[in-house]
Amino acid sequence: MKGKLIGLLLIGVLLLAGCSQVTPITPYIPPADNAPVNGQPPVDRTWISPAKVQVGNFYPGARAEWELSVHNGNDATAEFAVVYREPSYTAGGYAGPPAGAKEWVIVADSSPVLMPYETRDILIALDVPVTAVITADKWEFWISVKDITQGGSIQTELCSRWLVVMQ
Amino acid sequence: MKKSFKWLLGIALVLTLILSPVAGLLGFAGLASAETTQNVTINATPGWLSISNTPDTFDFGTVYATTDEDTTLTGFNVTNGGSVNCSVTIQCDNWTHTSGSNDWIYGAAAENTSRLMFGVEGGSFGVAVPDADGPAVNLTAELNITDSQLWGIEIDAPSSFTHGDSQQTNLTLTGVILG
Repeated sequence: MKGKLIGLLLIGVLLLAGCSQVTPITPYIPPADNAPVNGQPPVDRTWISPAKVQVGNFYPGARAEWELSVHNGNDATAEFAVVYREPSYTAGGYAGPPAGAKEWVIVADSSPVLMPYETRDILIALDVPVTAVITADKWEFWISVKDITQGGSIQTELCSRWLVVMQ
Repeated sequence: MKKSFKWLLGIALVLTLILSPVAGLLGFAGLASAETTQNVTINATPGWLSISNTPDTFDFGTVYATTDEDTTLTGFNVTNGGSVNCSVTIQCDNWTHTSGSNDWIYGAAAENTSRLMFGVEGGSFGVAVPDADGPAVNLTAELNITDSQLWGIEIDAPSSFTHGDSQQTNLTLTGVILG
């Protein structure tokens, strides 16, 4: 009886120890500091914030999140496309995104419809599977934000840069 | 004695159940757990990014073979309306017909084949606007806060036509923070 109880106790302890190993990683996210540096952003211009996100100490299996604010500066409702984008160029020392990076980027709402002068925060998550093979120490991808209701044939797009530094 | 040993084991089990998560939270988990608690750091650059361009459309009208029409180098004006300095890249879609049923090919002038060239004020129409396949190129490498850049486009007209279907392409100007 004593042996059974000791065995049970050992199994319980081992199980609990195993549980503690798979505690999800919670990235350290400092308090949001998206406040513009020169007063408040304009109401009548379309803008995004932040323009750049830097992720450090990253590794396969980790997750990083940040909210991207998208503002509709039009006096009419507008639909936006918020999507992963290959960078046209990268910062010095940074490589382009690894193969498969597009699948690792989650946009909580990729086609928001914003009322006139509305600002909406959209969660962007970089969720890299533990099996991912990333050879670059530093790499970059962009999040593209485009008003797809723009009428003209010369349109504007805004991109938020994500700079990732691996462990 | 047996009874008190059972009680002891029971209490130990309950304590283990209660304290394990607490210990994990306090960083007293095992070595394997310590490997998974390294913090990912995230920082964002304050400020907002915004660009605008006027006018937002241009019609070349009737295009003649081998005749390159342009908007002048001051036909458009792109402005940085954000709170951070940025670059502006340019890219376009492929040609699509707006009448008839035939598309031009996007490329250097040839039969039913045409492309757009661009330049900035004081320069020349020396650079081709890449299509959707190419990486975008800089219209201006640095556009500081509140600054504007005048620019224009030229059509590298086809060398000949086999149809008269009207064509259209959309250009995209992309604002990206520097650095």
